[in-house]
Amino acid sequence: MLFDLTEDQQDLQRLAKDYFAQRFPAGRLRAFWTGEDDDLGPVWRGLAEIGVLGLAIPEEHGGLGLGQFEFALVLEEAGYVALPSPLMETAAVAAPLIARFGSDAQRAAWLEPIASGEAMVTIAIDGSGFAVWGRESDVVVALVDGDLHLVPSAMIEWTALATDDEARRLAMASYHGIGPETLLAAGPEGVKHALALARSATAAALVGISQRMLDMTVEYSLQRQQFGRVIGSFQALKHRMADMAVSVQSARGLAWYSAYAQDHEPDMADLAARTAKSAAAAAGYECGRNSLQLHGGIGFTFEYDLNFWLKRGRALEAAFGNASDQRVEIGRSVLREMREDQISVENEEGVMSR
Amino acid sequence: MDLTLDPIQAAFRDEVREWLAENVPREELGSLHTIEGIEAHRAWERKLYEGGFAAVHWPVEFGGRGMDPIGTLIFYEEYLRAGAPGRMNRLGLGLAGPTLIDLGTPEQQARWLAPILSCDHLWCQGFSEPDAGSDLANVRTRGEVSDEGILVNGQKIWTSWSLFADWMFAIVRTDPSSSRHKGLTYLMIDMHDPGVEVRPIKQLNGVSEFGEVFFDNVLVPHENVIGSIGDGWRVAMLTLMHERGTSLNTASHFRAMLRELIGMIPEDQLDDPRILEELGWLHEHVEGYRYMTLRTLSELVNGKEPGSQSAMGKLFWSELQVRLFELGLRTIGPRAELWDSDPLGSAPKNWRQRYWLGRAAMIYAGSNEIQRNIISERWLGLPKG
Repeated sequence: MLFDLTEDQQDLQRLAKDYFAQRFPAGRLRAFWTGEDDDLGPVWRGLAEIGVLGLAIPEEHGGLGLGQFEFALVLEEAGYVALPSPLMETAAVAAPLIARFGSDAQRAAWLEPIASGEAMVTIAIDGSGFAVWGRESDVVVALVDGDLHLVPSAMIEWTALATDDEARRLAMASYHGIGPETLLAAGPEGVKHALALARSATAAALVGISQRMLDMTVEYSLQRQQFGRVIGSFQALKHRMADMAVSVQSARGLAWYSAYAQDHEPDMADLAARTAKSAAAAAGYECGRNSLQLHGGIGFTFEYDLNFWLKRGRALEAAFGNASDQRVEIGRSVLREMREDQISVENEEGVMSR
Repeated sequence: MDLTLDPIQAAFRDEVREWLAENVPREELGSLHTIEGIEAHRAWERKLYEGGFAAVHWPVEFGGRGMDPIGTLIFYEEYLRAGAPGRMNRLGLGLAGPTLIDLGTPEQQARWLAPILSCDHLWCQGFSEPDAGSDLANVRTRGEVSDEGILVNGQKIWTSWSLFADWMFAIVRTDPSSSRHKGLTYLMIDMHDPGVEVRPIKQLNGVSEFGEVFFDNVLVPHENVIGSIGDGWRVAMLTLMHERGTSLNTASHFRAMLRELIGMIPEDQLDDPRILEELGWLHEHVEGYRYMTLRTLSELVNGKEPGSQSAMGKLFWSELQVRLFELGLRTIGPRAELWDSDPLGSAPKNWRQRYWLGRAAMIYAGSNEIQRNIISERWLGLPKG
């Protein structure tokens, strides 16, 4: 038993970190936001070239056959740079859903293009009817009347929505021609699975976003001077940053476990994803609230980069259920389990009794 | 990443599980605040010792099982699962013993380690003083060094288990001209010395778990010094590092408390979203603690320097634990103040007293404010204030 990265996993983490640092530095993010350079095609195709887009896609469909755990490491790094793209939607949610539930035709049509960077996929599974990067995507995993459908862009009309985080490119979908031929997974099982994948992946991204806000705040507090000393030496501020750090480390462990559970512990996948999402949303909130406060006026300006992470964090906190929503459901599930069998001794296979 | 047990770990788990199933006492042992309770716990500790399970984390040559941190975790998971009694000599097994194993001379190891395992010697920790709490380096208890030994005069306070302890590991100031971290010496003090006086302190929850310890010309021989004269701060820091290792405060311990809590929630509140949300918060934090500690243990097993989460455990569990007790108190309304039993409902015995002890945990072993200082200074690189 080891809850730590293997050497291969560390290499992958480093690969992703280096890739984003090189190809997507903070200045590039700003250029995207201002419209100076909004072509992310090269960054996306580069991700395919280093194997990231096909990480969790089976080898027979042109991927590397790794799992959600490996992909979570990449998503954390993508969150750290606030990458604007449907990376999670395409590779961490749509791809495994298509691989698991798709017909031969659907698998053949989409998995290899996803791995090679030709296809961009988004998801509309939370009942809101809108999706990130809708107009730019080639196909959508859509929740329609309780079933999951795989709907090509030709069958969708999009209406762009103005949002807080413009880099999410939200759009409202209206579908034409939904029918048996677009069906991906019928009934609640597929939806539940899709939401678990989405929550788990969102948690990983939020950990990266929270870590970035913490790092920016620590860095700023070591430079900014008031009363003749750096503000990072004041205990009131140090304790807030300590709390931010604790929230991030707790959320990271839960995000790792959730991603692992999606791969290896299917019975735990739903609860683990909710728990990870809840902790990550709490970390995002803790880090967002304190980073804005500790930056003072400068954090309120568009000229300073913090706002990119603040807005992404707030958006992802609410995505697929906020912390409060998750906790009520987690509470219900824990209550049921423990009430049903107060003296039960669970999980015969390991020390991880839950 | 691999959460399955390897064959050796699984075999150890089975061995522990089997032994506990046969040996865990069926009745609750008495309270640790009474002589009878202490004796009952001593008997249980001796049984563990005879079974070879007194300190599985100690090296085999010192009577342990040589378990790495994951093996130790497996032991305590099974221990909790079996509902075995709370461990008694935790300061000896967890702090004094490992410090002796690291830095003691062979004579010191031969003298003190076995009686810790068998629970013949109970240990207490002599660090805190009236003016040295969070500011531990402000220790003032004096130790005059001569050829005969170190003559100790002064006072310790908030000393847990001092009423029943046979030995104390302590730091005293042996260089009167020194200040702060210099000039301190780490000593083993015989609590039965006539110059040692222990006065119990009655706590707000009615019991006296800690006391004041006064030293009046207590002559401690040189062979009781750990490390060397003047090297006490380094040894003390090493002792404190063992506090971060594994112990009974595992996630499964808090999970068992969550189970108790759920058992006490009145039926008519089981659908209350305020209660459900708080239960969800507790589950999230128990599991968050599980993976933070598991990551630290895994890093140690992998020979790495543990990451920042290793400094967060005490802060995290102590605050989570208080919130758990508070939810229980909230759900039983005015019955929350009932003392030894709850004739009107299903609240576990002593829930309120345990809540107060939970509050103590936010103060002892480095107050949570000190923990936040450590996290921000050591792990975030922020300057000392």
